[in-house]
Order: sequence, then C-alpha cells, then structure tokens
Amino acid sequence: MEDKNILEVKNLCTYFFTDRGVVKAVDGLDFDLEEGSVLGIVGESGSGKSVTSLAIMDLLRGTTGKVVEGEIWFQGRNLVELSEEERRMIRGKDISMIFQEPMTSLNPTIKVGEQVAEVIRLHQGASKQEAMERTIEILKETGLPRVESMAKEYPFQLSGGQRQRVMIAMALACRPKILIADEPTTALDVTIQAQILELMKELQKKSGTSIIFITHSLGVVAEMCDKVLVMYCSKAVETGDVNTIFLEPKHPYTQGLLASIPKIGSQADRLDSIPGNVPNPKHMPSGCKFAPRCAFADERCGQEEPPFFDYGNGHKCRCWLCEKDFKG
Amino acid sequence: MTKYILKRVGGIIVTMFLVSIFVFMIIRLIPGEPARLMLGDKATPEMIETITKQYGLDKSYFEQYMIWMKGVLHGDFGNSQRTGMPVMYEIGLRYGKTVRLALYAITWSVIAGTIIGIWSGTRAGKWQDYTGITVSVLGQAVPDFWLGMMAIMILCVKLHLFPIIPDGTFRGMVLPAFTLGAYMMSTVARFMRSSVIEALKEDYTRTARAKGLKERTVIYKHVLRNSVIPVITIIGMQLGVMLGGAVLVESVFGYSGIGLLLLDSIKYRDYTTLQMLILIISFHVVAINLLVDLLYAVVNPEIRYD
Repeated sequence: MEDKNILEVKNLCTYFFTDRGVVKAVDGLDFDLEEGSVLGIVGESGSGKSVTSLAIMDLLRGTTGKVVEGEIWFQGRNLVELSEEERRMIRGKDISMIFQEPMTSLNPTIKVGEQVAEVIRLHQGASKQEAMERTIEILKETGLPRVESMAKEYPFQLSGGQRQRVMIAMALACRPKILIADEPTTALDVTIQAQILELMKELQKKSGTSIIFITHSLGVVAEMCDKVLVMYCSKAVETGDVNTIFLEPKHPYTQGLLASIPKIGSQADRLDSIPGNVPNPKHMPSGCKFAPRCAFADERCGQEEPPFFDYGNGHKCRCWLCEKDFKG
Repeated sequence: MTKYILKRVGGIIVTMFLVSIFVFMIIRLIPGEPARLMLGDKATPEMIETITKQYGLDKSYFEQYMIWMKGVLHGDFGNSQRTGMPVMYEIGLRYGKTVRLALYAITWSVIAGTIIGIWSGTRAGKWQDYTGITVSVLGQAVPDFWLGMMAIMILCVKLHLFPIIPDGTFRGMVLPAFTLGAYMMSTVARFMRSSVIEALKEDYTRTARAKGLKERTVIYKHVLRNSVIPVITIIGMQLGVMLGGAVLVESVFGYSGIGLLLLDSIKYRDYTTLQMLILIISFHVVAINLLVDLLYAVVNPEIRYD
C-alpha cells in the first residue's frame, strides 16, 4: 500500500512567529494521501487545516508562518527541502488549490479567460491561442454557460458559483496530481454548494486527481471523501476510512462532531454541541488538548498527551480511552 | 459612456460659469486702483480718469462682467491693462512654457513615485522601504521654493551643473521640473506604497501565487493593476496643487511661464489678464479631473460597464 501514496506528510510543524510569541498552528501532523483518493481534513476554525494546505503549497510567504520541521514527500521528493523556484514550478501544475472565497480570489481587473489561460501558458508552454482554446474547453467542462463570451468578462460580472467554477477550471487546467480544496463551498448558497460538490466529484472521477478536501462540514465529508483526518488544535486526533469514522468514531471529539449534526426526523429540542471553545493557542493545555472540553477526561488526560493508538486499516486515534482496547 | 461624458462636459460649463463670477469679484476686492498703479505716482487725476474710462473701470461691476463675458464668448479676451497688448497674446507667449514645465514635472514625478512606491510596498518593513518612506516624507515636507533655492545655490552657483536662468534647453528645464514635481513624486510614492501593501494581502494575490506564477508576474500583473486605481485619483487631485506650485517655482527660477505672468498681473492689478489667467487655470483643473475620471474607467473594469 505504501507506494500508492502520492503525498506523505510527516511530523509537519508550522509555527507563526508573531510579536507576542510563537503560535504553533500545526504541530507534528502526519498523514498520507493515497493516489486517486479524496482525503477530508475536518476540524473547527483554528485547528490548523488551512495552514496545513498553505504549507504544502508553500504559500506561507508574506505571513509570519514557517515550516519549522517535518517532511512533505511528493513524487520521491521532499518538498520542504526544495528551493523556492522548484516549488513554484510544482504549484499550479502538479499541486493546485481552490480557495474558500470565490468572491475575492479572482483578480478583479483581469478577464476571466485570461486568468485561466495564464496558468496553461505558464506550465504547458502553450501559445496565446492554444491556451485560450484550452481555457474554453476547460470552462465548458465545469458546466459554465456561454463560455466564449464569459471568458471575456471580468469576475464582478459573474455570480459566486460561477466564479468558483472558474477557480476549479483554473486549478484543474494543468491536470494536477493533487488538488487541495480549502472549504470550496463554505461561502456559497446551499444549492450551489451541492452543484459544486457534484462537479468536483465528476471531474475527480474523470481525471483521477487526488484531492485533499478541507472542510468543517461532516456532511460534505460523507459526500466526497474516502478517508478522513480529524484535526483538533494543530494535531490530528483521529484518522480512518470515512465509514469507520462515521460508524465507529473512537475519539470523544469526533463523536461530539458527529453528534452535533442535526438529524432529520429526530425530535430533539436542542442541538447537541461540544461544550466550551477551542483553547487559545498561547495557553495550550499541557496534556490532551481536548481534555478541558472532554466529558471522559480524567487526571492523566490533563497531564500526558496520548499517543496514536492504531486499530489497523488506517484507523488511528489519539485518546487515552483507546488504551483499554489494546490491553485486552 | 457618451452620455456620461456629455453629462460631465455640461458640469464643466456650469462650473466655469460660477468660477468666472467668483474670479471677477475676488479680483476687484484686492485693494489698489489699477489706473494709478499703471501710471505711477506722477499721474494727474485727468490721466487716471482717462485710463479708467478706457478700460471701462468706471462702469458697474455687473456691466463690467457682462462686457468681459461677451468678449470671452466671442474669443476676445481684452487687452492687458499693464502692457496694452491683447491678453490672448500675452498668455499665448507663455502658455506653452508652463505646459512644458508641468509635463516634465508630471512625467518624472509619476514615474519615480510609482517606482519608489512599488519598491517600498513590496519590501515593507525592510531597509529599502524605510529609504523610500524617508524620500517621500522629505519630498512632502520641504517647500517648493526652498528646494528650488537650494538647488540653484548648490547645483548652479557652486557646481555649475545647470544654467541659473532656464534658457529653454533641456538642461535648463531640469531643476524647475525637479522642484515642481517633488511634491507629486512623494504623494504618488506614499499612496502607491500603501496600495501595493494592501493588494499583496488580497486573496487574488494568493491565487496568483498558487498558480505558480513568478513573483515578478504576480506583482507587475496582478498586484499593480489593482493598486494603480486609487493612485490615479490622487494624481488627478494633485495636478491642481501642482498648477499652484508652478507659480512659486516659476518665480524662484525666473521662468517666464503663466505663473510668473500671474504674479506680475497681481502686482499691477491687471484685471483683464488676471481674471483670464485664473479662468484658464481653473478650466485646466476641471478638464484634468474629467480626464482622470475617464482614465479611471479604463483601468477599473467595474466602472466601465456600469
């Protein structure tokens, strides 16, 4: 199975060096992305999901963030050790990204078609005309109407859903091996969300691109993903197949997330929710990061950080409760 | 678009009408009798009366205004009370010189300001940025006339690099244009800098980087297109200030453009020349603003289609 991984992230640590101290946004994250599969990274805001994707893309420049430790293996190369120029050549070509905010992620002063064609010219050395022809083709694939005229329009003339389709076209223009989608549907209307998800699934099937799907919505995960990585406070707390995670969640945080999805037909007066808030990154609890909010926490949880307990078949959980399953 | 331009031109006509009334009144509020200043101390009351009559200065303000306006609309700007020559001729003699001075000043200051602004903005917080900020703060803080006098003293008198009196050659233009453009350069640099810093934080810049574009392309294509938009507005606003600066700079360098003519006209209460000059300058400010607004629509697609 090992050699089928297209991306392997090992002990990734990404810290932000601010005036008020170091913020550990991602702290010792491991995960693998199997070729052709969709991995969902789930977690609350501030859990380090987006920073992880920016670290893989090498887009932390201009922020105070830095990858201080860890390896990112892609096609036999450790990306962390590559030069800025080498990483630039990978961006947009082998690994590309879709962002959360379709309204602001396109350049308002450049025509939509040119924004897509630009990537094709850059990475495939296509001529202006070839690139524009390819652009029209790709835009059509994303289900946009009247593509020929739309390519000559500016982003403000398009709706949010249309812009996100343009973003998808842009990201997939060079047939990347990996697509990172950072909450691509969060900012859209529910009906448009479903359409965009449908489109991504369809394109993924067609091209075999591996996808890292970052979201806070478990519904989206169930819809899209093969595997799930649950993040809490800059660490992975549980990973596994989407079925395993949904049917047999081991970590109290995952259980809490699943319980907080409202169910149609249930008569509950209140929505279940996880009590408390994500701890302030400057005052991290010393043991298990989730202990202060956990109903099952005991003394040890507050002092010692639990290791990953491996249930096999990729299902791992970082919780002391799992220990009993292994002592027999 | 055509409708928009027509609307703006209509606005200009109204503005110019109001300006003409205002200019006409304000000039006549300056103390001092034109005829006496023209004839000197030894003028007899009869001579003064003759001159006053000749220029219609004994008529009511309303009549004087009507006569002036009638002339202006017919292309007759009247004769200068100081030299007796047609105002049109006096202004025509100097107009081109000031335009040349202003064009040189605008060109260098906008180019230099843009470059310094990009340089500073893309290196925010580094030494290059602080150098840029220092230059632009100096440019805004130092008054035109002082900068001009220092330039003459050091570069002309001591080092003999440039002619002291502008002689119509390019070399003679360097210092006046430099002095006149200093303020504009600083303003453009400062606005460009903050505008670039803003644009670098935008999502579309991150998208451009995510495409794998070279940093150069990211800045000169994606960032710059967006950051020039606010700067263009500022340039338009500053052009009016620059015309005022031209009066100072021309007098410091003894450059015989319309700025110097304006000063002389004030000294001699040359009403006809003065009111026409101010009217022409106001017209330029208004016209430049219209041009800038049109240019704005060219760089900002959202305005173009609305």
